[in-house]
Amino acid sequence: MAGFGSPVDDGSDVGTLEAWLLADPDATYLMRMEGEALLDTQVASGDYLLIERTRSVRAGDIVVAEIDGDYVVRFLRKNGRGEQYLEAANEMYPKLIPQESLNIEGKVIACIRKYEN
Amino acid sequence: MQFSQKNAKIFMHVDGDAFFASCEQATNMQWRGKPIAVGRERGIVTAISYEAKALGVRRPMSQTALSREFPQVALLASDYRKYELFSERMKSIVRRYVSDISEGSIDECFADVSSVTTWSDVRGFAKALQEELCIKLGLTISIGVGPTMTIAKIASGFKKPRGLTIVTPENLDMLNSVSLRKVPGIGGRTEQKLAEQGILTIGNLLALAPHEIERRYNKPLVELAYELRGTSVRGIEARENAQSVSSIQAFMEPIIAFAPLLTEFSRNIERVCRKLRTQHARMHAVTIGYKAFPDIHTLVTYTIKCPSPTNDPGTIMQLAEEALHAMYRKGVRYRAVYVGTHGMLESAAQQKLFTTAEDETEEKRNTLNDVVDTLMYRSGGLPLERASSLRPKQTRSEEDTGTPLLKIPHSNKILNIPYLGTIQ
Repeated sequence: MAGFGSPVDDGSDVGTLEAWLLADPDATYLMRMEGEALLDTQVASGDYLLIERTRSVRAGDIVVAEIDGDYVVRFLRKNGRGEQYLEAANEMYPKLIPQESLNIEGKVIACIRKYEN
Repeated sequence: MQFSQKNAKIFMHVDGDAFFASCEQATNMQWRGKPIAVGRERGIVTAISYEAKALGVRRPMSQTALSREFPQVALLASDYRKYELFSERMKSIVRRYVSDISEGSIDECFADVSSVTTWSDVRGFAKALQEELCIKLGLTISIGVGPTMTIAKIASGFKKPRGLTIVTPENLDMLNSVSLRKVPGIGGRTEQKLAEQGILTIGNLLALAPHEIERRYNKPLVELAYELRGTSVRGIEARENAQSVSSIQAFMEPIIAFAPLLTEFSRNIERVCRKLRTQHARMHAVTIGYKAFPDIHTLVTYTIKCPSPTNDPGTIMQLAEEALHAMYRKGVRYRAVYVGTHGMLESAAQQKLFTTAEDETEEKRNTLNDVVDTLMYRSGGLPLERASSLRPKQTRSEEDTGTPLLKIPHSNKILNIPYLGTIQ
């Protein structure tokens, strides 16, 4: 018989793009990237970043953090002694090693680039 | 009256610390730890950060006095939509711990946690909630726990910011020295009346026997005394029924002409009706009001009865417009407009046996409103507004307005997710 095929129903419900992007909608915020610190990881100036405020942040995550009074977005890294520092994805930018303080604000969970307004 | 631990209710009061200022600090990282104040659009300080409080800034304080005495304190325009976003998130997080909550005002909520924790576990429960709120919102919250809503609210104010105070039925004595001024529900006049009788603290009031309190005072104070003794007479439900919906909008520049004033009323009427529709509620009467120079702190209000319970902005606008024509005075500089529901709300449309021509008109309006709601909220947000709500293009200085919420291009919508500005 011709017509539409009927795919196997795996019992899944339909979800929204928003629900998928915002895993924890009460803890997710929007920021805008300025500059080229994350260029090698394909985040360009002007891109929008979704930031989740969460406790579970690990080395290797892209984080928004306060380091010695400045707020930046960088990769969170750990050295051999387990001390945290921040690293850009662009060799033009220096490693940031905290002298006094390093506080993680949240982690970047998505990057959004809109091609049209 | 004695209650055994088992039967006693456990209430929690969740309260944002310096909420408006904290929302501004949460959305602009450069202002963390800095003294800021909110209220520039009204020319007075209406909210202050803890850092500004520590410097000695008090409210209310005029903009002139602030810039003279505390030039280092930035005064920002308030952004209620931003505070509402944070408020909704706060309540949504609380709701994940306990479903029985009463929304209270924008920066607080009450919850009956009796069914989800016990007096021996409530500290850990509240601490976990507090921590989650603080991490996810990026601002601090104080929590009070008590056997009644009144005690919970007093407790949340004990050790701000980020306080956690638990008043168990066994240690109610700790409230005895609290001044009646800090008791919610006791107004200036009642406080004065009681002070004249030498009653200054909760301890003073409760030293009177219950029957003596009942003999001397009116019902609200009698109820309050029960609450302070740990006997819950105010429940979450009773408060929710009494809830009202309102919207107030202050202007950066005063409005003098009638047309733009009408536009602002229309916008606020739409906002109130939208809130009602999301709650499936209707109002029996609407209160409209304004604040104007020179007496900018007084809200002048008019209440208009609706022919039948409604949440349709067209119906309300028709009623309001007539009243607005009557109240508008040429030359007056209007500073703010207010729209609010009056009296009890009706939770759903009553079923009628027979329908009339008016009912059919109403039915059509309901359908229209449903369509509008669907288009605005479920399909990516079309810029739908009543023609009367459209503002002329505004040129407004953007300095000191905090980090604005992101606008959706080609619409007059803002994105429903807080924007924290740029990051390098």
